[in-house]
Amino acid sequence: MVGRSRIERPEMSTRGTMEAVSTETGRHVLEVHARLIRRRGILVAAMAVLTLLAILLDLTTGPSGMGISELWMVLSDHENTTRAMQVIFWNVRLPIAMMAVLVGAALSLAGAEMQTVLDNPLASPFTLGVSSAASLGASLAIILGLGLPLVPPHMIVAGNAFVFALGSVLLLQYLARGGGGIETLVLFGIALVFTFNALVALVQFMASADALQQLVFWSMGNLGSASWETVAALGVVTVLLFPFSLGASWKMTALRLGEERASSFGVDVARLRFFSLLRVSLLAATAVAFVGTVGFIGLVGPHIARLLVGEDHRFLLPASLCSGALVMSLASVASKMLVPGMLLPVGIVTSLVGLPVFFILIHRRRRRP
Amino acid sequence: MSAQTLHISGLTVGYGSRCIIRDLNVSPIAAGGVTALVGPNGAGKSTLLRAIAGLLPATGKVVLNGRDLLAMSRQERAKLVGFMPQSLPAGVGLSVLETIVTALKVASPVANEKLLRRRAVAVLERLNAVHLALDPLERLSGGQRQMAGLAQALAPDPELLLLDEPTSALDLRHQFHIMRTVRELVRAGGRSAVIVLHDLALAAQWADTIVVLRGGGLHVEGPPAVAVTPDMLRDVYGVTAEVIDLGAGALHIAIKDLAEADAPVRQATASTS
Repeated sequence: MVGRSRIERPEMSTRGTMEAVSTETGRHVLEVHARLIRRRGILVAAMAVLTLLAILLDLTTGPSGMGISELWMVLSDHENTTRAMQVIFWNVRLPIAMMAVLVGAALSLAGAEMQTVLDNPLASPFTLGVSSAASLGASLAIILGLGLPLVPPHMIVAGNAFVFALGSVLLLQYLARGGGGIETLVLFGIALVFTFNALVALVQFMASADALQQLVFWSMGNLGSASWETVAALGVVTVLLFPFSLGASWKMTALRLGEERASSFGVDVARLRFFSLLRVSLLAATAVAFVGTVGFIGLVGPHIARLLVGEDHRFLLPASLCSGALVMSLASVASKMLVPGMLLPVGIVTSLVGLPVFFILIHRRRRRP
Repeated sequence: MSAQTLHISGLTVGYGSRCIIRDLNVSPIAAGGVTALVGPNGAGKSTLLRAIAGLLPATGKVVLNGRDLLAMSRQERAKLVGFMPQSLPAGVGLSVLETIVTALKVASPVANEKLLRRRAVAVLERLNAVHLALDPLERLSGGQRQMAGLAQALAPDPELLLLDEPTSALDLRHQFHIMRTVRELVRAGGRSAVIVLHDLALAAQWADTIVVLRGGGLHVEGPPAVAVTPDMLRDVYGVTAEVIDLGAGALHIAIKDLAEADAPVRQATASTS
């Protein structure tokens, strides 16, 4: 080991001088930066609290007219509640509310990672054909009744969608191996989108009117079929993957400065991209499998988060998770309230709810000096 | 002066099947010295710099103080080598301070973040750029982004600095400031710096050694007065020129005319094929 002598390097080598901030401006910068970091932490916490409130709102809305007081009764006083109220709460409202939050969180987190690793603000979990592949899987199940062996009949749509979505990303990684960078990856992704869409159209062309309607309904995104089984599956995937996302947050922030630069800092960019895309595909595939395609949230959730907390991924990733959960939860509320007595497909509503929030944030950003 | 050196021998670099640098040998570069890498467009300057930084597949040896940079892990290398590429992305919402802290944190993940923030601010102070610390990169001018890029490369306190045209977007004052700061840091710390420069006068003024590349190979190396000559300018750049020594390391290069227009191009192709 060749030591770096302290005596030889009086100006920058000894830690004391290296970290010594000597100007008034420098001290001011540190103070302002520390405040900024605290503010971002508070913003993320506030979004989490808002999400909890949105869940509460989601739980108290629905065609049965069960409000906050009935909700409290179900939770606190088992004796005086009817069996119907119990069922509505435990088997309908709570799974739907939880599914909304989880789908929003998973897709938005996946979108944030995707936008960073593909260095493209328009990327979403569905950019590279994940949703098209899921649709193909679902259409095979719905229209042709083709499913995977060992999958129970009520899960074949979800099972097919998941396997096709995950398979498409693995296929993509395989095709784009051996360099070429992001552009190759995106071009192959676009090629896959068109291929899957053509295959879906082919299957649709052969479908009966009934099956076709089912497929269209599936592709609009629907929370109505949420059950504890599906909530648990998506919950486990999200909870298990999030720490890995967070663990890669400094490297992702470095990647924002360009591949070459990140690499010179010591980041293995190819490895970072591979594992990030793997997380994205697992999150998106699981979410799509259970609720169908909900495209907007994975694009806009990360943007809302970025406008609020900036691009430091330690804050951007949790903020994306929360913003997606919040918007999706509100969309779930709206899907029950827009047309009384009818549960609208949440995929439609998400855009309608998310867009105004997004416009307000862009407008505010433009006005900032 | 210590015996720390950078030694490049038998270096071959290529993108895919295309070989850009073939079997390059450069005399050992002593620590405390600034080496300028010059040559016409496409001579392989940036490629050589990236290869030393470990960003391109290369064979051969790049030995810094007894350790082969090409044989070590990315993280190990990141602690020894500070690399500044030609361009920094423009549309990034991170502040200058955040980018430096990120560079430091990625290189040493367990380091205390408060300490890293102080270190980042200290580096910016050293570059007279602390007023930029809180500005997001997307609002900086090209020259300010270069300052930020230099700060990122300097912050981990590397033994070897690799700078790819660090002054191309800077005005005269900032050019002078950057080059002087880099040379001071190199001299005082026993580090080495290899800097790609297009401006031969700037190279002559600040570098101890000039390495002239042509067509992916070494054309000539040596102190500015030895490397920058009318002969070299004719052979490498294809211009007839007069070189006037202004004293104190400063050279004035007056270009008179283009030399035989296609000669250097033909030579360059011959040496890469």
